[in-house]
Amino acid sequence: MKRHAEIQKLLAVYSGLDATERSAVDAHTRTCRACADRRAAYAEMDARLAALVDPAPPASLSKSLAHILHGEQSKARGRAATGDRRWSSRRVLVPAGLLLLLILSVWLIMRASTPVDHEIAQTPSVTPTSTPIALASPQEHHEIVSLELLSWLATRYPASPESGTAGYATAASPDERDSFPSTPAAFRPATLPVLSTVVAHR
Amino acid sequence: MAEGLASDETASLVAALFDQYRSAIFAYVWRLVGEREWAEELTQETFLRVFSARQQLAGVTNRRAWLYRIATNLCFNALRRRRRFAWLPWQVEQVPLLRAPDAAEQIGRRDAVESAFAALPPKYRAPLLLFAHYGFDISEVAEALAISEGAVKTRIYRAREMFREAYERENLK
Repeated sequence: MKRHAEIQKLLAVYSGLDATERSAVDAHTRTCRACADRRAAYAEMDARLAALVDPAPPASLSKSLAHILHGEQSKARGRAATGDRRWSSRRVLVPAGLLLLLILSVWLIMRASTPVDHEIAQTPSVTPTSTPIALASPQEHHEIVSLELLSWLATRYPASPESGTAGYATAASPDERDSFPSTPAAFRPATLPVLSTVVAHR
Repeated sequence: MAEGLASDETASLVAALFDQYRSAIFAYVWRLVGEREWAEELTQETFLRVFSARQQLAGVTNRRAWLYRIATNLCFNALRRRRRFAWLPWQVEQVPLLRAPDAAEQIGRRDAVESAFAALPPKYRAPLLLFAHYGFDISEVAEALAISEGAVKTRIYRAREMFREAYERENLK
């Protein structure tokens, strides 16, 4: 009886059976009248179902779908193109931004560690000073350089009894002394680089 | 999956599927949901889903089964939603027949087939329709309905029995 039930299920999908199943069903239906009738009924049913005429889709379906699909396709193309442009822009802008950031960072680090006046900081002192020049404030810097310059001028233009010329420190006349810078305060900050150069090339 | 296909190629595939299957899908959907306008909406939705998922097309081995699976899922979901929210019991609209100059007996028989077929629950109607009307094999039906081949055989057997009974009732009317 179980075999009979199994065969009936197989009969329902007879056209989809493999060769082994089909031969088993054929062997059974040769000896079973009920299954043979069922097989005939299913075959007739298949013929009727296969003959069903599919209703034609409305014209509006094709038009609206074509319109929508075309619109979607255009949108998709637009999105793809925008995506490509966005991607290519990103490929250029991101490294450029990173490079710019790197350059800026390096510049800021160098600026923070660089002395106020690099040339002055590297200039050997004529006279030792208690304040390292690289750490000096602009005012201290100004005074240090002025003192160094005065010291240099005093050694560069010493008093010469033979030639009868007065040194800077002992200039005979006020006019002669006025031709030299009289006091450290006379050196304006703007002249410092020039003076520093003079000291460095001394 | 569709890395080998350009977007134009996938769009062409969708267009080819639309041209080849729009009539069959519309008829299938109509026979499942039973209303022409609803079938039109769902058919439209089916192809829009296909278009949205077109990048998967290159990896699909059986495009017909894939297309019917989308349509079937949409129909079953739509029917479930309608049944859940409908105040009135759901009824299948009779699919109108193309009135070719058939003999009256043939017309009557076709009406009976349509009526008997419409009496089946969609769960059984779909596999029988795919197998007996559209010529899908068992594995294709299984793929289209996302069920096992054993389940397909069982459903088709039950569908046939329900159809046979309904058809006999129609003939007695």
